[in-house]
Amino acid sequence: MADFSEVPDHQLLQQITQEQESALEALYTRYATSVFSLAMFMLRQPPLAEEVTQDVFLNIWRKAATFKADRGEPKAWIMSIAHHRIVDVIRSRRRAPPITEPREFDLLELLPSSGASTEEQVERNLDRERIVKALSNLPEAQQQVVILAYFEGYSQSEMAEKLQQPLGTVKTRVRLAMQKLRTILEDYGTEQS
Amino acid sequence: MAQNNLSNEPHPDDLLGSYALDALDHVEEAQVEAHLDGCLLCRQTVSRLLQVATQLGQSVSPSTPSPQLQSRIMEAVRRERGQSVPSAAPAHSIRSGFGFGRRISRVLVPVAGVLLLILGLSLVYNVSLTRQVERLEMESVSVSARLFNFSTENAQLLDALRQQEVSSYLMANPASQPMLLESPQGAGDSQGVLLVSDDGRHAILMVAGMPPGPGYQVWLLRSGEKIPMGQVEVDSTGWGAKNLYLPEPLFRFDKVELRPTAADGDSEPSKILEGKISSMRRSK
Repeated sequence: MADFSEVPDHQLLQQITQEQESALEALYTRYATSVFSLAMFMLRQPPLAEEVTQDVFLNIWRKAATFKADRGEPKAWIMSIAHHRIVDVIRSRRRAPPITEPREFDLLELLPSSGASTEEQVERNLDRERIVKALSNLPEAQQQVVILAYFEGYSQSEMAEKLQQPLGTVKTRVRLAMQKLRTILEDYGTEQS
Repeated sequence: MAQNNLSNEPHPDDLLGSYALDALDHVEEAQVEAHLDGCLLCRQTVSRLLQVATQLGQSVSPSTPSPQLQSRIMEAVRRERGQSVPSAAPAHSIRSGFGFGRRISRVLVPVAGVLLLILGLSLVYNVSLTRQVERLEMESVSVSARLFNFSTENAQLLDALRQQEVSSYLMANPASQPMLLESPQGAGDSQGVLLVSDDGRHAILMVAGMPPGPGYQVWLLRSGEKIPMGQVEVDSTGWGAKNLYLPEPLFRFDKVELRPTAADGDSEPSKILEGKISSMRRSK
């Protein structure tokens, strides 16, 4: 198999449009853990998380040609496909009768795990620390809408209902929260470089 | 909202953050997507917001999928390409793409956009129909002489409203599966989408770019059997839509075809659109 370790993501996507299976395998190697981890975190069921991960990579295979570079990097595209699919599953399950009580989200769940770490693990833990710190910097109401929307799959109108707040208030909170997160995370990026 | 200087269309500032978090409903999402197509400024904003969302997604505790998952995915890919599959563990079921989501295939992107637009229009249409029905009901009480006429009209509107509600539900349901109908051998500009319910018993057929004509007969085919499913009318722009209530799940058939409605005694007209049902997957 060819060595794809130096091939940029967008080139792999290009090769997928030419039906090169090895390019998909290379993207799988890069992103399967991220996709599966997000699915596991949000769905909490390994078989379902694997099914979603399979869907995501099959859809990358089918839809690589629709990737638009002006809407973000390939990594963001892949993670957004994954998140979109997971949210679809969560919303369809929410419409079904509940099997268990909904869990309460805890920011602490995002904190880095301890133990022996590879270089990649250390880097990942630093990323997670940055995110937790950035989220902690938001006012509680803004923190709440980001968590409900991103990690629990609530839509704006569902959040308004759950939080018993006007829809306009929820929209404003999301907008301010995302602006603030963007600024904080971009500042971290600048500091790093 | 701020204004887009090029088109005077307002920027959906309030929706971009929620768009990046997948917190919009289908109609709002379609509005944002349509705006993004023509607005570089908002595309840049969304690109940065998606980076934030990606970082959120990558912040969760890492978990590792089973070692067999990669081979299952590659098997599924090979199956799609029609190649022979090496023997291995059985593949898990594959759900259809992303419904009306934002990351759609090169063929389904425009189709999904159309579906979302239709969903939005049908919701607006629903509200309009409901208001009409209410107005008609009030008039029928006050003017007893016109009661009969109004009640007939009322029933038709209610029926139309019901049809729209059913269609909206089917479009909004992520379990619904779209199937593309294309001109045979790529001839002509006609295209269509069949959106099928999870159980395969109900579908909405939408066609566009159809040549003008008296109407098109919808056929379901399987070995040695050809079942008429009614006629779809198209307007002067070539657009038409029809709700199909199927005698048995669609997945039991092989193909869908549309042919111009033939007058008695005419030979069978040529196919205008066709789609292979076998390309869809049963989710139940």
